[in-house]
Amino acid sequence: MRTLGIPACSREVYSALALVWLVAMGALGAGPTHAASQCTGSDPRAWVADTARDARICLSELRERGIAVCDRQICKELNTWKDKPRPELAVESTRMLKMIRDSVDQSLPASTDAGPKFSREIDRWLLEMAMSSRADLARDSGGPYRSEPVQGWNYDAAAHTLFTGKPNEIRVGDALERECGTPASCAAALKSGAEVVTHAAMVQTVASALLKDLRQQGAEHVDLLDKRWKSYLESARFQYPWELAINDRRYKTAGGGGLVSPPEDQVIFLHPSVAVRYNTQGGTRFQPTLLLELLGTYRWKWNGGDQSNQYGGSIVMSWTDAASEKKPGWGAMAHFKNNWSIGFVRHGSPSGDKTSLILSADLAKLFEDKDHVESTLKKLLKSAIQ
Amino acid sequence: MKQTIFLVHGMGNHPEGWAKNEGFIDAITKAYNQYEYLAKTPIEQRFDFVPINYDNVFVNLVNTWASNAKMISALAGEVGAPQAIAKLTGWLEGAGELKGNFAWTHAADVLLYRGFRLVRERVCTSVANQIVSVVNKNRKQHADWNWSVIAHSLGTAVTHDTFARIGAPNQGWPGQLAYSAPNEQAQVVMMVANVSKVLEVKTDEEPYDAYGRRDNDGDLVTTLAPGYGGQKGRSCRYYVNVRHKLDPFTIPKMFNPLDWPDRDSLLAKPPRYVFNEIEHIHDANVHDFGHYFKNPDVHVPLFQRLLTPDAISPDEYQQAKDKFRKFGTLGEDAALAIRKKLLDSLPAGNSTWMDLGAIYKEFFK
Repeated sequence: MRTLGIPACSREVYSALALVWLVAMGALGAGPTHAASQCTGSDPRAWVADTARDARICLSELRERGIAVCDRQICKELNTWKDKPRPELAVESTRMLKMIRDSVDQSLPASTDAGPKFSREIDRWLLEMAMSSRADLARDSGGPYRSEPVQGWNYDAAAHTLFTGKPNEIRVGDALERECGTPASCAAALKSGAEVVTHAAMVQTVASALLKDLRQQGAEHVDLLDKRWKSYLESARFQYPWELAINDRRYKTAGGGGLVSPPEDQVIFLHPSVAVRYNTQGGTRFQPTLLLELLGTYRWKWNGGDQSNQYGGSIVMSWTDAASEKKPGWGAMAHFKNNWSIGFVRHGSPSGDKTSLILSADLAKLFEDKDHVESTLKKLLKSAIQ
Repeated sequence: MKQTIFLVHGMGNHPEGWAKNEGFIDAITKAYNQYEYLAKTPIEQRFDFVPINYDNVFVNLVNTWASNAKMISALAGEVGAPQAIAKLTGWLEGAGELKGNFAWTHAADVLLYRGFRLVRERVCTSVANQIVSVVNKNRKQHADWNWSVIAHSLGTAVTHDTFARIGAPNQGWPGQLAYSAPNEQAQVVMMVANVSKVLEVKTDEEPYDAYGRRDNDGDLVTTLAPGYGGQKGRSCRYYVNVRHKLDPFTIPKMFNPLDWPDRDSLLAKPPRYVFNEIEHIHDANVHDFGHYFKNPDVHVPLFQRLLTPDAISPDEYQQAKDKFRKFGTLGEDAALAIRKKLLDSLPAGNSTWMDLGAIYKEFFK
């Protein structure tokens, strides 16, 4: 010490100083052993935690990150496999599950029950698959390739359990409470928990991928139904509230509930609308006309998300601004696609009964913009009068 | 990998961008940032908020009625049509006006939704499409991705009814296997000011009892209920139900099932179903989502189930409750005056959905 320029002290003094330093470091939670909870690195197998709470938070964060950050070879293989088309997917699913099972056996220590429980669940599924036939691969409805509950492999980070409610339930939270008495055993329990989370996500990937085509078909089906309902209520012939009430009461489905398709017909009742009358007998040719459809029907078939083969008819009354005519006119209209209708009305006048052609469009449905509708109607009326 | 949280609005006018513009996301963010562990990670790095839009269904209907009614009124006088025709549609003329037109923007939403199956199916199919399209897209990338729903007021009934339709057994639609529990479950469904019971429809064609119904074996078949991961018929893993004691909309046929959906769910740690009643008064509008969400008894159970209970420790939870002022900045006198007014006008528990219109009128006058 003298040669280094450090004042000479007794061995006892240096020992006391070292002891004080160690105690101080221990109080600060740092020191020569290891840092407090550390779960920010990319490999959860290297994480450590001092307390059960910290360990649970680490696992919750691992769950949040998901399998997307898994850089193991098996995860890379899963990532490639899951994008394959369905027949290959199903055929190779047993190989993927066996790989995961082998990884579980290597990763989870025999000292815990998590490994055996996890392996038993995979084995159960593998056995069901082994008992199935080639035909099961092609079945839409399921079979063992698709009947495995995807969410049964979801690690519940709120409860820190896997296989909840099953005989092989893995209670990671309980294991952490038991083991986190010392840093070393806590780190080991955390590592074990991380392996449970990671491998659960792997199997969930397998189960989920086997349903991907059904998921896609389901999404397309809901989208189609959405288009139909939008068409029915928003772009087809509109219904006044009382008509909606009548058609609502008429609407029946097979029963049992679920996502349903809209009707393929409408009753028309006391439906006022604006039309244009073409006067074939001379005088002003195009005249704005108020129509009242007393009773009618409109029918169609659904073709994908669109209406097709639309047709219908109504009994109508009409009023036109013509002082010389007896009001109202009576007639009938036929309805066609794109909400266009054409018909005839017969109305009296001092010179005898006259017949006029009427043409109506569901103008409010033809355009989206209400102001556009009004300005268009005004132009239509103006041109009709001139 | 961010969790997705679908936000489902209630009655009233909610155009595109509503979740941001009406402060839903702000309310959630503000609550989130109160807690040390949560605040370390910006909320937008943890959650993707996806606002669900269904108000357009009501808006399109009433606007169509209004625009046609105006045309009819304009023309009826010119052509000498009987007054009766103008009267037939005249009452619809105001339907499209949004400002100061509470009857059409609020009460009509409920009447249209509950009164017309055709409207209900339209709304639920639209909501189902919005949710299913996001689920389909995200599951392609991440099998272990989680999603949740936070619904408010009328949105609670819409959420319940949509889940019920997606998961209805034996309907045979192509997505039934993929989108029903046990293959698809929300992590959390949170119902704020839950009106799914008072607005429930339980017929043979719409068997969507709010609590579920018993099958021939006496087992409870639920429409939207929590269960463990992969449990058949349980569309979510956690269900958080909150109501304000003075919120009149939550009183008629209050959603308050006992021993629901089963003992195992209630005994789970954390419990899969939680029902919290709150009574703070920071504003007269105790029905408002933001008013609800600032209360720790509302947002803490949610965050704990979205992530982990350790995200907010028991001590932190208690500290938040101790710090939360019952009357906010109102002052005791003003708050007690609001309380008295609300108490005096609380509806009867056996009121029906048809009484909700009168409740709205009284509450918002």
